[in-house]
Amino acid sequence: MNDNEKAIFELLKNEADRVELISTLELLNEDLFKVNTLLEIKNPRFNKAIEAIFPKNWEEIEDKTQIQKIILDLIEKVKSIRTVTITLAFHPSQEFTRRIASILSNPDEQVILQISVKPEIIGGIILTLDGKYIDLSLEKKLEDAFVNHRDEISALFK
Amino acid sequence: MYINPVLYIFLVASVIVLSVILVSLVISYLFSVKRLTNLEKEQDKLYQETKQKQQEAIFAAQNTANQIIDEATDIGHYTKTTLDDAIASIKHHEEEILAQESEKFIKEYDSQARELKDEGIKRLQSVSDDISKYIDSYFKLLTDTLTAQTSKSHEEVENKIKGEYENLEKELADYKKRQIEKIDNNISKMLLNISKLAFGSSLPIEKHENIVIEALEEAKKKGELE
Repeated sequence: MNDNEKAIFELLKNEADRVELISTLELLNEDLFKVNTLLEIKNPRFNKAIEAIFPKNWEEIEDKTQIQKIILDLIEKVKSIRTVTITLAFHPSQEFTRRIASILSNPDEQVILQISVKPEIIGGIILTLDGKYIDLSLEKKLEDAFVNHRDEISALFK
Repeated sequence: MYINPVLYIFLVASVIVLSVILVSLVISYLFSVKRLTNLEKEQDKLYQETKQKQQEAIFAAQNTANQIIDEATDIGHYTKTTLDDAIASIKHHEEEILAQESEKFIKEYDSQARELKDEGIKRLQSVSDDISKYIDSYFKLLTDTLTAQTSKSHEEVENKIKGEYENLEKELADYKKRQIEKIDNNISKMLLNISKLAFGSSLPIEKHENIVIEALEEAKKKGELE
């Protein structure tokens, strides 16, 4: 993964971003042999990052199939980015989502978050990644605490 | 026509002989008829005579019979009287014998009856004693058995009651334990729900974010996110 690719992947913070990027790249692939210049990218979030990868003047490129290969390779890489499903008790801000993504990502591997909100978990986070279910919610902690200290709690009422 | 004189004589002789024979036969027949008529007359006469004699004999026989019957009646009266006397005599004799035999029989019967009675009384006394002994022993056995059974039943009932009581106590204790556990669970659930409500509504977003970040970093340190 080069720096340009990394810059694009860092923009992907959720599943919607992934879908949007893939559709943008597929559109580029369709236009590759029709026009001579890189079309204006409608999604401003990916504009700079994509421009950094592809030259503006496509006429300079002798073999467009190389560009096509880059696009298709990029699509495959985007598709293969690991998805982590998280559950939160509140609606996260974009900044907070990026923060979570950065914690969950490795230097060589980006993650995409699929977020759901359930206030009943009270707080904390529940993660599902690579088939693993990790419950770091306050609900779980409270339940564990009540199970572990049930006798003490019961003693309070006797 | 020439006829042998010998033959002629012979024929004439024959006719004569035959005529003589025929005449003799007719005469003989006439005699026979006459005899037969006489015989019939004699027969009628004899029949009349016989009939008369027969009637006479019947009368005579009737007379004789009546006479015999009369005599026989007389004999019957005599005989009957004699027989009655004889019967009376025999009867009297038999009554005497019967009376004697009856007396003997009664005496024998009394004697036998007395002996039987004595024997019966003895046997009854013996049986009575045996029955008495048997009843005594039976009552003793019954009393012993009943006492043993009562005692055993009493023990069994006591044990059963004790067992039931222990079971009930155990069931009660289990029930109590279950109910207490149920109450504890309910209290815990209630407290948990209250805690959830209290925490969930009271935490500010910043606190939420801090909790999430802390939890993630701790999990990352533990290698749970790899």
